[in-house]
Amino acid sequence: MKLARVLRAPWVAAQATSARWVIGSLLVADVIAALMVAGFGLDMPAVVVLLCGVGLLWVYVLPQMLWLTQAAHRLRLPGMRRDMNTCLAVYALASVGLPALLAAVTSGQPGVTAVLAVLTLCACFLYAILPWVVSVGMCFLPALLGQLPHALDLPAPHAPGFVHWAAPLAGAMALFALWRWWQLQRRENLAVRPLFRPLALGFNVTMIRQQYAQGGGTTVSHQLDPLQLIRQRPDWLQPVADIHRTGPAFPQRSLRVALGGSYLPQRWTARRLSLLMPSTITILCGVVAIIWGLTTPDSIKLNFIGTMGHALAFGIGVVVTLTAAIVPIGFMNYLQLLWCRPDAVLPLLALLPGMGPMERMKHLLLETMLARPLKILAALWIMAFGAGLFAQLTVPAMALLLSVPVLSAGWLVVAVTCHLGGCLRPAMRRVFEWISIPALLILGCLSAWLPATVPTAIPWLALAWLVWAMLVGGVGWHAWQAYRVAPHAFVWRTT
Amino acid sequence: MNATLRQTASSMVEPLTAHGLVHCYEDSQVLRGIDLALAPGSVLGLIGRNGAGKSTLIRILLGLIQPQDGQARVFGEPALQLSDAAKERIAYVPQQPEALAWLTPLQMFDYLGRFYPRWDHAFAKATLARWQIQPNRVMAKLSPGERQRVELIRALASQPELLVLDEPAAALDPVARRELLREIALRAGEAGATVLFSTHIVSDLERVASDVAFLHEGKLLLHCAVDDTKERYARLWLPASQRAAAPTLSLSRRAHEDGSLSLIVERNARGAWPEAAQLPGARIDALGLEDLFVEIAE
Repeated sequence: MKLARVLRAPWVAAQATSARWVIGSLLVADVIAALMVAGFGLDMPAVVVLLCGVGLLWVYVLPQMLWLTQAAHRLRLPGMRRDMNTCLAVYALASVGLPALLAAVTSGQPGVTAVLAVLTLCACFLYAILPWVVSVGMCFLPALLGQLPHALDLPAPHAPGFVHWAAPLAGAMALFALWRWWQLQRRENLAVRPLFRPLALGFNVTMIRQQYAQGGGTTVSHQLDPLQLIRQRPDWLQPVADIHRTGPAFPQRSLRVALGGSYLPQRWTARRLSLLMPSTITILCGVVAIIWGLTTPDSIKLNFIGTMGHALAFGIGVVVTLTAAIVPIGFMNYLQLLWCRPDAVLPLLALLPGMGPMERMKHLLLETMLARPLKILAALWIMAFGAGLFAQLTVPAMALLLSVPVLSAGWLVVAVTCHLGGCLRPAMRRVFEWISIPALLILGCLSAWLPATVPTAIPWLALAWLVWAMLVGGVGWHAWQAYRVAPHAFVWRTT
Repeated sequence: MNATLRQTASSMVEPLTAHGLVHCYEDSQVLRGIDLALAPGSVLGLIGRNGAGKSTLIRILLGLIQPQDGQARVFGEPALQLSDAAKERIAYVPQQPEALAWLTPLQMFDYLGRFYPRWDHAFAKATLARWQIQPNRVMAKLSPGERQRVELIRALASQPELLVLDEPAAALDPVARRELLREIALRAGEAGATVLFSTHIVSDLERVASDVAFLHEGKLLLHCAVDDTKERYARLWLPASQRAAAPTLSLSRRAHEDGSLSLIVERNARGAWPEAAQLPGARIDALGLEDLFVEIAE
């Protein structure tokens, strides 16, 4: 009975009800799909489908225990850490054992399947619990791992020698994941250094928003709120607001000051510039080196480096495209956090004189909220174009790659309008987010690398984008109607 | 002449009015048909238990929440569609002010001062210094008490005609609280500002409020001048034998273990207590504001 309670922990610890239902349904659907595929005699595809479920579990569900870990650590709850480790161990055994069992029944390659399962499990878990900057870098992995066996002449999964090199790699990754988990369990405050915050802490946006709206006290979510981040930042790293050219004559800039965060007009002090310059120069040098490597093939004698260059070009494409999908989500989360607190920016802006009639203010606000993220998306569009050129993509593949920032921009426009107009009830809004956001991320990622490797997927991807755009467009139309009739844009609604 | 007439007319408009305000959150009804009007120059203390709906009422009155039913007006304009002219006359301090936390107090005053035509820069700077608040520290890093005082300075520096404060003393120490009350009294007395503030601290209310409104279970149970409460309301105690004769209209009713009954009753239009007060064994007890609040809220 206690084991059942422990196994439920990651589900009830931090996930919102809607999220639980969506992920639970996806996992059940995944297992059914795997069994059906196995029923058709397709042994390896069945295992691959099952491993997708394993990945989902280890990215979205189990790392959520970090919330519980933090709460348990702060409240000094006894036995909690042991229970969570037991929970992880049981889920790990099931994640490796079930695919291996399926393989034993169908293909007779349980060893290979078990190694693949451990690799999937560790990669997904590390993706969620490593610092988010590293996790973003892991987007290069599929492209790199896809090329690595060819470059280093390593046996592929279906070849006999696969286990000999993959098993030690899987063991090393498992040890690394265990060490990272052990380290996180003992950290007092995971959100102190934003750059090193695990990606998993940002997944549960609903929970962050709810706790933030209630003025939550000591939880991790509270530390993710914009004000807490300002408090934790040392004075010399604090952005210095530039309030010149604000006032009734400069409504957009005034709104940016009120919105804060990435919208805030800032003065670039010498100290901040000196901090940013080295990293910028390093990144630029890296990009130049890649371009040089790709455009001067005679100078590169090793096939390995050439392959890696192409992989990096793919990787850059993936990162740029994923960033294009993530940027609007990040901006949206920030705005939702601002709007869910009744004592934050809402009363200030609702009662601020000199901004003209409410109708004008509504348009100004929408323009201000969208201008900055749209500029970033435009820059990403140019970067994606560059990456596509270097990767020598075909025209349809390039079109798909470039459509990601554009569609992300469309999603942002709809999401912001919907948020301001309050066209969806909170439950429906969560459903919309839970359908549109993962689809945006998955389709964005697939659009970056699938067309180059599997050209036949292009029509299917285009169709999927079309369905997605129709859904978002439909919500967008309702959002615009609701925003038009809303009395003003600063009405507080419960989350 | 016309300008003078217009000014007189606008100053005669009630700064805040509400008719039939109804609002509920997901599973609970917070306001059940609130009617309220603030006379120009009055200081109304809104009192009620935690979760009684004081903040919700204030937010609806200022057009920050759209009520499910009813309407609120500010200086005669619909609260949800205020003009710039109306906004210039209002200052609101929320319970836990968080806006513009990325600015320093001086930056905030500089920024907001551009929007308010009557902004008093000298007052803002002098009060900041008098209250010993660091002018160049980012506001997110100030203590809750300091943050609230900065917001109070912000509100007062705009020289509002309507000052709305939601639990203004919640994070203040006794000295700062006393200064705040003095400032409110000053604004209301000298500048003729109308003040609405919510509070739990009855002594504060007695010190500065001219009127009191008691919000309980979504309804305004009483709304009258503070000085009238002692005269107008009292506790009627009836022995068990007279329990059946208890008046049906009362603000609260509490049965004791010995069968006796305590009720909060109000004088009728002729200034008389309910007839049950004349019954043998019945007793009328005068109550202070705090006792009255506790008796009704318990």
